[in-house]
Amino acid sequence: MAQFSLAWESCNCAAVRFDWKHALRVLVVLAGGGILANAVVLPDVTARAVRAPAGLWWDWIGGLRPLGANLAWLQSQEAWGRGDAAQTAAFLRLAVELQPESLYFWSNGARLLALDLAAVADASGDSPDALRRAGMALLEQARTWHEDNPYYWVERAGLEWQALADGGLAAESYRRAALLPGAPYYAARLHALMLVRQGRLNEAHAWLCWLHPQLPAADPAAQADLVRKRIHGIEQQLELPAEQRYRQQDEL
Amino acid sequence: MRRVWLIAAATLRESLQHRSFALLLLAALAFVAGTLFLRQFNFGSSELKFVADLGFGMLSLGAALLAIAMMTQVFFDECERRTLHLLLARGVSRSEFLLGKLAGVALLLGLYALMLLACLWPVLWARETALLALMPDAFDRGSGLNFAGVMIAAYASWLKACVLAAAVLWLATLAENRVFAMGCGLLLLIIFHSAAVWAAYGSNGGWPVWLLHGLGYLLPDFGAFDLTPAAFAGDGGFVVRAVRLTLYAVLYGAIFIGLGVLQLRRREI
Amino acid sequence: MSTEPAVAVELADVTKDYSVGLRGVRLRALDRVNLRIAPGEVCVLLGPNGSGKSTLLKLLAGLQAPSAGCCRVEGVDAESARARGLIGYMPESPAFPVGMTVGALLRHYAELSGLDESAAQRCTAAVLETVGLLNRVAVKVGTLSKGLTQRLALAQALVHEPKVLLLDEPTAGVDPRGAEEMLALIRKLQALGRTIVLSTHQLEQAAALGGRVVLMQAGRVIFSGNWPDFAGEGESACFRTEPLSPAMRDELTTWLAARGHTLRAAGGAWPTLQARYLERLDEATGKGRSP
Repeated sequence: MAQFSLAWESCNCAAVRFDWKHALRVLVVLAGGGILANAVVLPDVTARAVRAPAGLWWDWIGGLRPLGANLAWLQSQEAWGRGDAAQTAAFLRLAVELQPESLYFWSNGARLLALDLAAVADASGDSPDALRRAGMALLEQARTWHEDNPYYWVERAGLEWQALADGGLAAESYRRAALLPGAPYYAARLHALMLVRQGRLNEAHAWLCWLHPQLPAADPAAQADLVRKRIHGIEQQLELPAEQRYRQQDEL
Repeated sequence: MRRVWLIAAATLRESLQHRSFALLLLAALAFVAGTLFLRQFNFGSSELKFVADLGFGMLSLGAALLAIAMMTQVFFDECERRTLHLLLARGVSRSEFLLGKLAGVALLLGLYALMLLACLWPVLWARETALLALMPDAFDRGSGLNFAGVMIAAYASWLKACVLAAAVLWLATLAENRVFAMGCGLLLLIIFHSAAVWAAYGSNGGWPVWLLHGLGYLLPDFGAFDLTPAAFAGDGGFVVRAVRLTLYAVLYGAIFIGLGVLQLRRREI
Repeated sequence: MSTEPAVAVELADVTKDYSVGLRGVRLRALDRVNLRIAPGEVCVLLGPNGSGKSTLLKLLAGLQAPSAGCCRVEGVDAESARARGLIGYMPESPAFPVGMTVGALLRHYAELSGLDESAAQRCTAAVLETVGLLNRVAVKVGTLSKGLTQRLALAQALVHEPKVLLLDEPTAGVDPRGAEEMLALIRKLQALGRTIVLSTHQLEQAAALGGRVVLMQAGRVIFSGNWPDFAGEGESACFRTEPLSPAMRDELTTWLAARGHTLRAAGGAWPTLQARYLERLDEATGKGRSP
């Protein structure tokens, strides 16, 4: 204790005498307030730590994390330009560690690996399959951060369709996207398209019949008429009898 | 409260005349305006995100540095000029004094954030408009700008700087001189940004787990104030988060002011 | 019937200890000080640096709490909120924000003292007139000379019309003319019935104020009385003689001793206030001074 007081004194920078009682009081106030703030007001502070501990080390650079992420992203683009898949992947990982809250790095990074680099993999000596898997793995990691974001699922569906050529997985991802709040209208239409491409016409018909009444006629992005046409097209393909065909409320 | 406001207004007036404020503001504005040159690199749709990240980076870092510099400046100015004696002798309590000083610096930080935002927003808007003209579907995946989101992200940066200012004020009541207080303030900036690291290290079973995990709980987590993604998403979730962050900041502000008052009572003036 | 308390300022057995260094070595700044100052009285605190004058004033201003004993102003505890309105405090050589104007600064302090805007405006104008700064109301504080800054410091202490003024070295760093003007102001305030406690090193000028003198050393009051007593006029007499040879001086000493008197000084001028001041300090420390 005496040594501590001596060290405190020798720094000669504090205006007050070191006092254990006061130090204890400070700790108690900080502990009480801190627990109230971190556990009650903002409990996801610790949740964040459990979710992505590795990236948290970058918190050291404070408010400049997004800047660091952008620099890492630029480096990944430069490595991609050289066709260096290993470096590209390394910088992409750094970018997403620095700013995991941004879907941009996850989705564009995954696309870069699974589509762009995989397309030129043979020339560079890399395995296209390994790159596609790496791209999908990156998106899978992003799920902890962006599971509730419909655009995450749209991006994932796109890669499952284009990189893995797996319409079933893509259909499921589009469905999840369409069911989330704030989803773009096209996600639901693409889900139906994926089902049609797989020959699951009945499922596609049921989905579009469920979807159509919810689409606002006044919003051109919703494309209610297009959906109506698609329903009609599927009904023709299925040769459904008139009583099983879709009718809007006003037609009934 | 009238006294708090009077002290805050005087602090703001005085801080505005400090050269460091003008220099930092000009540097930040020049930096934000300079992001217009990013178009030379032809980043495509990602340019908008780059500009926003650079702008918010300057906002966050500049406000933090301003909080450290101005808070120590205004506190030690009062002590060294003996005007603190004049305030306390006429019945201003120590808590009114510290709250007034913090409020004054918070207003200054708000002004800094608003001015930077006033520069950043037109830059972002101009680039988004230009990029949309070039690539009409560039921002169809939720990556377009959201004005409310930009405001929320800037507000969160301001809140963070205010918490830092409160912590620096507490340090200043303890410190003998302003250099020591400023040095410790910079250290606090790093420590508060790494609060989540302490918690992460603790939860990963590092040594000594209880201490690091405990530190993660004691100190404010500045990582939580980074709402830059809100600038592009701007959904209701960010509004809720901003409300909770406000409570979080007010709570920590109260903790540091309370500790400062305890400390100032012990300090011989 | 007057409701004025008989004592404006009172210190009863006041002790103040400071913790020096971070290991908390105790330093006694005031040691069982007792003092009573009547309303309207001027009390001049004298003493070497570190004798406890400023500490005493800070205790009365409520800036610090005594370690023991109590300080009262107009019958109320010096630390209480009520006492704050009763005292006006001027610290030693304060500096003000240079960018503010004289008028704005005084209004600011008036409002901080609890006056509303119109009262603050009125009191500011009145006090500026009192201290002779009315023609500088719109002047920036940073452009004022040292003497004018000290007057401004006095003005801020007066702006809320306190009954008791505590002035810590009001003439420090001011040229002789400025010091004389400051003392004239203090006399003016004295004439208006204010109780004034001030510390200074300017003995001759302080003596001109009259009133009470309190000499302090090492935190203790070693003399408290009026100026004639301090100067020793009541206990000594001065005679003009021919120059005295050593033999004549010895003879005179013996002659006086036979009649119960002591020869304090010979062959020089009557001891100045400064000499008396130093003599009293030496007496208190037990050093003594050879005649």
